[in-house]
Amino acid sequence: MISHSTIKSNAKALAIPSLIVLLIVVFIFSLGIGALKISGMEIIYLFLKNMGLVNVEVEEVKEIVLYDIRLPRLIQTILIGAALGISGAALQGIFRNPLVEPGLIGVSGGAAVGAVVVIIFGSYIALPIQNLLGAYILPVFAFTGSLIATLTVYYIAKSVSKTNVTLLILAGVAIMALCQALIGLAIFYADDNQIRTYNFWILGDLSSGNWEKVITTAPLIIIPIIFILRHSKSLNAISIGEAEAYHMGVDVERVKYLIIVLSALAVGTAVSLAGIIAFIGLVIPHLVRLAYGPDHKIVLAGSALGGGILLMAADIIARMVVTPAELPIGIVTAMIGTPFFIYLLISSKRKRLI
Amino acid sequence: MLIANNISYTIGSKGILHDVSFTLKPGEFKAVVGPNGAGKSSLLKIVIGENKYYQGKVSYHDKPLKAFGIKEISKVRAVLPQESQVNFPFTVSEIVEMGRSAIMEKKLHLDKVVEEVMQSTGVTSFRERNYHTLSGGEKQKVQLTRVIAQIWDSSDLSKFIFLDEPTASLDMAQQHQILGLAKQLCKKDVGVFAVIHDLNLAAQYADNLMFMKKGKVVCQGPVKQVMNKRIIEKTFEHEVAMAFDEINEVPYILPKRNQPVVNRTVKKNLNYNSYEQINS
Repeated sequence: MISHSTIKSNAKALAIPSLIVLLIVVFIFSLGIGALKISGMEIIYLFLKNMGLVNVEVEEVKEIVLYDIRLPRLIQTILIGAALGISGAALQGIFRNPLVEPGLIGVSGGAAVGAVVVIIFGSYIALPIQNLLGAYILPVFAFTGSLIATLTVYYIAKSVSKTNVTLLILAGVAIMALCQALIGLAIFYADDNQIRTYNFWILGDLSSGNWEKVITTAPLIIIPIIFILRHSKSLNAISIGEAEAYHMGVDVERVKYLIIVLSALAVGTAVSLAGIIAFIGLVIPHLVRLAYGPDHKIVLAGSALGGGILLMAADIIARMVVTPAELPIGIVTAMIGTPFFIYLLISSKRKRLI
Repeated sequence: MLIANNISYTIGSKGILHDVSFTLKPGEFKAVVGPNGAGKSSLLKIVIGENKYYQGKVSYHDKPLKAFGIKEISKVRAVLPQESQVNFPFTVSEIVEMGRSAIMEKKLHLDKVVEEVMQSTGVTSFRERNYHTLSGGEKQKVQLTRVIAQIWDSSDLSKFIFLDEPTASLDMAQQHQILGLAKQLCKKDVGVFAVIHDLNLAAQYADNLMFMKKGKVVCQGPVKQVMNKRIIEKTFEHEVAMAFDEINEVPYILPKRNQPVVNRTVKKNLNYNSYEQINS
């Protein structure tokens, strides 16, 4: 008995460190892959050299590829994965259902509409707004779009005392359909060049990562993550029931709104960077729960790390399958994620969750 | 002390509660009984602060309920619902730990409280079990443990526990376990307020009974005084016979059964002869 519980608490204690190690391993592996192979040792040498610790000769072109192309791209990939993973976990927590996913309930769709507006009608947006927002114009529009979509879905699905899951998913379908229509309308007015940009972006495009983009958008993802992490106890309480959480002293309404706004900000920013990348937010929290149990103290942080790991892994597949070209990342994640979602639906049906 | 004064509550033009008043002292076990639709659960939702749209006054320790914050009130009162749906596979100890959601404390103290509370209710032996695999009675016991954890040394003031039909779907032994644990709390100066359907069960555990009907208090007082034929028949509109339970030393009721109205066609089908013919 005692040994069993110790093993269990050890697994919980090791969850986050083990995921961090895995993240670093996948990160270094992924840095080496591409048209120009860079070995793991060379990467470590380059890092140490840059810190002034060792002095070794590595080809200059490798250094440039590593620092100016792969590093920003991978950091961006990790940020996007983390945003999607943690938002998925937090939204599943407040809606008390493991089937919720940012892509399914309109968070991503709304963000995409906001982003498309900027991509296609950017030049029509009033100059003072353009000047005010600067580099943040795309994330801000994406955030606004995703917030409107999420709140709409939330209000449709909300009944007197709880959120109705069937209504939630159906409302998500309706909002996604509307978002698709709005995007279609915008494309109707776009020129060929804009359409090409849009096509790459909507299927998920990580290749455009550069330092400027990473530095401007990183706070818009890291800050929501930090705030979401602070609500693990409240999310645990809400998973027994909204009334129960309220009785235990949790301001349920406030937590729900905060999570919706923070998720919309993180996912909106992620979508503005690389389009709609589906199913990370569904698959990752589920895997983390399977491995370490449903305690949000671990599920939230674990989903942020796991999201980064999975998206990097998917990106490796996307780059390796059709070298030297690459598959849009959204196609890879949907190929892995859709069967997984169907499996979840079937197992929820067995457990009578829906 | 909890004081509820002239509580009235209406939905639209429909009156749910009319001038309900009662007090609950620390260490007192008060059971609310009455037919469905009497307003028992509505009253409970008001005094725990979940429903704020009522007339009248509720106060805990001389402070109006409406002046309490969500966190503050959670330190003096805890609530056990009839049934909680847990959608994720938490373990028993994780559920109990959630009772401490709003309390800022060191991990060491949290672990100590969880351990003590689990000991006190006897759930320690299945602490690592998945909640979903428990029986109905075990689940309710775990939820009660969580509720007790919430008010375990949470404040210097005396605390109150509210139970909303806590035994409705449990078998006999489980019902007595849950109410026995609640009664144990009274000894620790906790006031218990329970909505209970089974009159005999209520009489065995409560100090005081409150009879409600159509949003009004019919009668309230010590069990031996108010548990009588006249009051019960008036409240439930059903004939009963009274007895005295010598073992538990409380009054006992025996509801009379409704005489079945059997019409001719049904009677024919129930004919014994035809039954035997089928069997032979």
